[in-house]
Amino acid sequence: MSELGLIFDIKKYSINDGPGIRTTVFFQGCPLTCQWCHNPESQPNKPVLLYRANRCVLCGACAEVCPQHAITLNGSADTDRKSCKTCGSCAETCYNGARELSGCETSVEQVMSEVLRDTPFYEGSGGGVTFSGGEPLLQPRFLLELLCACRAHDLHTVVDTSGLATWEVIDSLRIYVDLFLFDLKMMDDKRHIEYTGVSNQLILNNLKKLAEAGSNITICIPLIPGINDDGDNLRASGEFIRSLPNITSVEIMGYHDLAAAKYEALGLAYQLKHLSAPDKSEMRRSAGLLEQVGLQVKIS
Amino acid sequence: MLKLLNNNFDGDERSRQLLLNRTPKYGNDDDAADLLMVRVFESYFNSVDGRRNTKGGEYHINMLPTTCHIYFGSVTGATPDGRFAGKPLSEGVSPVQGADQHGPTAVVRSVAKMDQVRTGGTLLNQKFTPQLLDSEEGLNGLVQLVRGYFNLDGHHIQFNVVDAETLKAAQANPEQYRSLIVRVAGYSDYFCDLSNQLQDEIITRTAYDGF
Repeated sequence: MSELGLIFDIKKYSINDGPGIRTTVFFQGCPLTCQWCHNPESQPNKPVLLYRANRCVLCGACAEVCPQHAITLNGSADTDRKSCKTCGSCAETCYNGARELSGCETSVEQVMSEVLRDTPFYEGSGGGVTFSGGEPLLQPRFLLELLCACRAHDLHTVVDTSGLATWEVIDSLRIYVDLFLFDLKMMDDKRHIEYTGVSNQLILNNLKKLAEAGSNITICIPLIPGINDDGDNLRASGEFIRSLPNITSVEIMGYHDLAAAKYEALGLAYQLKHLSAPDKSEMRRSAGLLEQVGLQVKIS
Repeated sequence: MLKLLNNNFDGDERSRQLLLNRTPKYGNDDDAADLLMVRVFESYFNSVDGRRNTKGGEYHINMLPTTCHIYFGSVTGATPDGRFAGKPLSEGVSPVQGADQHGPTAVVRSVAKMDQVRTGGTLLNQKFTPQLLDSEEGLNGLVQLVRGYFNLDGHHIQFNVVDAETLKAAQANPEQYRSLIVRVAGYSDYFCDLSNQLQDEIITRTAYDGF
């Protein structure tokens, strides 16, 4: 019997998650709680209910089937999330797709049968499979089986990670990973704890060990205005990256507020409402700071 | 079901929504749905191909009705995919508008299940937003998508790079545009899944992009 994992989406024709045309497999569950997270539904390591009010026609089918009687119609179909047991009955019934359960138990075979369908597009484009999330390293046995299955089919593999896992976990699967997309959020540990909920010590140590072990790594810095795009953080990040063996470049990715609707769909407050996406000149300025320490910078 | 279709779904929007959103649809690389397309294609092909025409030649099949789908739709009753009577049919061999929800590779794999080599030609329309093509990665993706489709014996594919007007229409009638993908800052998503404000933002930006 092969491993089961908790997956919340499989996205085809991904062209921003590594080289070529890729299929991205999104893992449910993350040990970080970054305030800017653009997949907040992926944070809990159990299924969660999304409700998109703009798709709801107030037909009431969900309220009829909810075994907890947790749904009331009142201009929108509100769910009492305290009594909701995320059984998924309402999502199953909602024909308009306003209700959706994020996170579904999936077998290695099920994931692979989806992934292999797009093989004709991986070959020519230099693409393959990306494991993202959520945090894929949070389900290491499931991830390892998937990586081995990809290797057996000669598929290029990318793991998109926050870097937060024990070194033993990373070490056990790194030889099956063709490229790590490794997030570097901020260097100051206090601020890291404040904005992501966890210390960066283990993450930085893992990044150093992974680079020393010779793994292929692309480091990504998400630029969050006023939080980590200051000169101090970017210079410290740049110097840390320069100190790593075999790494001479970094990618920066501008914050976007696409996720606000998801927070609403989850019944959560979005703490970064006041932020707006950095414009081209701000991205250029940040890139310049990283270039000053001798790094090649790609803006994506 | 026949009663439902005869009545043009009158009074049973729930059943129509079930058919629209909860049944497998051609265009998602789902064999259950795609094999129905293959069956229909084969029976159409076999009934027409090679028949004598009035001028002493033979009839052959082309799967490219260009804009006839609007007229054909106007004289076709309600269909069990949730489509109301009189509404347009799909364009050429393209999936029904909004039915393809797994991206362009799934679409071309579905379409390639039809044996296009035996036809005189096919017509497949795809919609992209300018942002999806504004980088080297985006352009390379498009090139490899086309190459992959032709390797699967696809015959023809064309792209509409969608402008702001279309995005406004998508905002007003999301059910017609469920498959529209937009790229925003290193990440792509379905336009209709975004909040109204974000849709507004992308519409504005798209207008500035000059497409």
